[in-house]
Amino acid sequence: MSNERTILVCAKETPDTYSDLSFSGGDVQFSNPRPVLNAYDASALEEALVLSEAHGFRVHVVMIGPERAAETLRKALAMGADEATLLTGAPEGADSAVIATILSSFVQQFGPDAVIMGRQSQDTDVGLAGTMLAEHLGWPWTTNAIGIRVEENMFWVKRQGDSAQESISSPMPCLITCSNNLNDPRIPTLKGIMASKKKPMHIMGIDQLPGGESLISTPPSTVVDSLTPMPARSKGQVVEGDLETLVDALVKGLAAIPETGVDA
Amino acid sequence: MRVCAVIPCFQQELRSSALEVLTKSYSLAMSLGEQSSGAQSSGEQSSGEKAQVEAWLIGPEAETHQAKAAQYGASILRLMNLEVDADQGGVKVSLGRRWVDAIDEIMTQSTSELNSEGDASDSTLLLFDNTELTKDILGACGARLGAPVIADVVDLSWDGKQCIAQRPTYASKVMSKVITSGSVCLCSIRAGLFEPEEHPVDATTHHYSAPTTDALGQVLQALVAPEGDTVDLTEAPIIVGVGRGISDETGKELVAKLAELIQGEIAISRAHFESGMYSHTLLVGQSGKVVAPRLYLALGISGSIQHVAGMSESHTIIAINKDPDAPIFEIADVGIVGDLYQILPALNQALESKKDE
Amino acid sequence: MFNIHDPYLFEDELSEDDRMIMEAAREYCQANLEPRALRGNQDEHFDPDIPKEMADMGLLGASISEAYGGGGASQTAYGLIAREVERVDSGYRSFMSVQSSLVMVPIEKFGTEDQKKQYLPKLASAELIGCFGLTEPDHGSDPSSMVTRAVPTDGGWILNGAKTWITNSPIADIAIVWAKVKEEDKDVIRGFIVETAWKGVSTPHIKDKMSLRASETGELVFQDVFVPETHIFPEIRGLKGPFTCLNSARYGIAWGTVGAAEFCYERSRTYVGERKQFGHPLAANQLPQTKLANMLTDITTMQMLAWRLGQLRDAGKDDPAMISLAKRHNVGKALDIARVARDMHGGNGVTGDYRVIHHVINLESVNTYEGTYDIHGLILGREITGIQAFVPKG
Repeated sequence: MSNERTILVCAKETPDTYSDLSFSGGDVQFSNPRPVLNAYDASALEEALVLSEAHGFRVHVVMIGPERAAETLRKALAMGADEATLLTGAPEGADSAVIATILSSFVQQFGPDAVIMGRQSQDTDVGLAGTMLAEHLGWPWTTNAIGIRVEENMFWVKRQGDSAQESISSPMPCLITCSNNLNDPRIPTLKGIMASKKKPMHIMGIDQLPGGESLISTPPSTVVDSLTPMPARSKGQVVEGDLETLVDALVKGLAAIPETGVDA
Repeated sequence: MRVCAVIPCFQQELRSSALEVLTKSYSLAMSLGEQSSGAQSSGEQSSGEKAQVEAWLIGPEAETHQAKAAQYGASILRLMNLEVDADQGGVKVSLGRRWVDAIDEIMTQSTSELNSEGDASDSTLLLFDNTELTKDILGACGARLGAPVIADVVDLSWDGKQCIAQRPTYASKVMSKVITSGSVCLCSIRAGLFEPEEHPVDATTHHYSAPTTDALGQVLQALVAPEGDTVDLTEAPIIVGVGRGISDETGKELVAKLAELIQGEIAISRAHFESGMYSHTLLVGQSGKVVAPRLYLALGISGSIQHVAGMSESHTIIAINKDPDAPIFEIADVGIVGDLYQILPALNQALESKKDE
Repeated sequence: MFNIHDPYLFEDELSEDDRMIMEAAREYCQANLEPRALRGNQDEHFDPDIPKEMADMGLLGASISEAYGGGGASQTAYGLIAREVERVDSGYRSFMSVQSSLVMVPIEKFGTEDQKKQYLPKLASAELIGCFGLTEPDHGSDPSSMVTRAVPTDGGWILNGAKTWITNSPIADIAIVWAKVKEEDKDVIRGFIVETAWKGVSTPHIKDKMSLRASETGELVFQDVFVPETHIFPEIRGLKGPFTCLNSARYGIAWGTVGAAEFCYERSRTYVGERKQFGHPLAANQLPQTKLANMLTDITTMQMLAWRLGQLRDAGKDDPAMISLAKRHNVGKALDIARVARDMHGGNGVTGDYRVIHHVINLESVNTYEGTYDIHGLILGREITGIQAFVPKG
């Protein structure tokens, strides 16, 4: 048990950003009132579970959030993770840097063989926490993974770069951030949900971590000042009709853009 | 005050996103005060502190791009070659860790140079483009430099103390205003939003040697470069987006023909990520590339939230879809309701006959 | 904040287990069932992969004991699953209800230990598909007049008769069959587990039905079928047997139709928001608004009934009349909502693409099967007045 290798999945709870959005007094509300497991982290967890099935890793999921996030974290256990830790009491408005610092303290104490997490969260789309954490830990990192395998005690990650896929090998411990194009995360089964009740879920104050006092008192360096609705693109003309009408409208539309080289 | 455009130099051509970063750096510096050197002062007196525009040209082609950086307003050029970990089919890549070490080194060296010249600057803004390369290192750079970071901004202002940025959030449905302050701040800016402008200046050049990077055992084993030309969608003025509505080789050929006729690059929605019909590098959306071309021609793309988040900043959107209620029509400037397999042959023929005229 | 999908916030009151099961079922149904429902209805096709998928998700026999391969979940969870499945299609929910309530429930409740061990795990894993034979060609609302009969023979029984409107029968491996036997010179109804592969059993498919087209319906015909003694339920006698199963299934229907109604409401809300006539969205008019208000009000009553009934069943405090009330009310309201939704979609409402018409025609069956709307009214009438009015006094 003690020499069992462990993958730590860092997960986040986010609003269901794919449900309808409305503004109320400068605050954003979603039609689904319940938060969800960040889709990118769900891909990270799925990959960790697949690696666990193939290589026998223990999968532990850590999440920073309020106590009520335990239900979202339980979904990770229902999907198949072995154990989970919820870190509560994060400072108000914690940004990526604060999150990475807290996670760094947890990871150093916990000592996993790899950290796998989403490359960004589906709500803010920031995508900084992963490499910040790797830098704090002094670990090699690979971002935007679209394929992960373990061979010869190394993680082999295929990452999607700007104009090519890069195949990168890293010794353990290392940190990997995942694209959500990596896989389709499994849906928890009823048996998984029932079994998740019996799995260990630790709820722990951030102040209990090494350096805890400073972790909860450091103010975030970036502050979200306000949220405003994105000015909507106005709906243009919609053309229906016979083929000739449609093609004429298209040629006209294309000719309006000089770069197409289509003459008006 | 220093505004530093961080420019990866791996190819013979400079990316237009690099020019955009230079342009934005120049305009931020101008708004802070008088440009320090090179360009003829217009005679207007500015009371603000001088702001320097620097270009940090990093990579094997650093020398190549000096002139261009000066042409776009950088009066101080800091050059560093970087070890390339993989070079295949014209694509060169260095491990992220080398980048962080390189940026850290230039930051340290240049600061100490300025200090010794008695020209200490109290604040520095580092601007990046928003490529996968940047996303691979930006957080680590911030952590290394102990500096705040704001990623993927569409606009920003800086007064030397405070950096105020606008960035899309919630799948690009909400704009968030983010504020940070620090002696060093890092920002990445979204491509396609700032028109590159030339501001030729006389530049001074500084050379730095790349530090020795401990890759911590990491090895870049191989690159799989897409076949043919290496397409960089974020640079393309015309993009032809292909969705579920194109489902076979016939459709693929029709699309290829159309793209050729209108000089467009092909992009895909998530529907084609696994179909195997197209390269994965062509994915546009929240989980792929974010693009803002002159024209986005959406073929058989329904317009899911995730896809729209990657292309809603396009200047013009034309969409063809057989479903009149497809969400893509809500954001399209021109929406065409019809069957692609009927429309595309007729359209290609019409465009070809125009060419022959 | 007013939640336009759950106005009285009942989902907040669910236990964490039940809510997680609901969300997992919703995710599965929306991702995997909804994309097949259009073709399933138009082409009269039940995708044979669906049972295994549902089994892998744990949706078959959700409330059956874990010792026999079931999910061990609450009655509320079973109802919430029915709601999610029927949000997609009543046909898929019918498949799930029959397997879970009409086949697994009687085996668990009335079966011998051997019967439970032999059949329940395989039914939970969809290795076996089950169906339920009570209704006969000439005996629907009045099952006590059934003519299917079993007579004792050496080592078992000989079964003869026919059952009709049997969901799943063409694809079933086993059938729970209710038949008359003579005991002390009296006709008594008893239950049998019949394997469809046995000699003399046929399961003809019923063609050209205009409702529940995405699930299989057929007949069960028995011609001198030998049923071994090991395949009769030993204790249960009379209509109490089938009615126990039907109570469970009807309870599932009370929940399932909430899903169907919610689908029709949601589609209508979206449609009138997007569809413009006379320069404005249809939603800007008073008639569509009050139609939506009526739908949501009815949906809220349906949710409240189903939710409270689930609590009562979990506490063991339910009564069949409570189930009749909820089945009757919820199916009736769902059918009304589906018809109004069809109307609000105008011409588009008659095409399969919008899926509303599928719910309308499915709910016509749901209103009829498992006790018609009117029969449940008579059950309630008997409770209220103390006078049964099933048998005409003329």
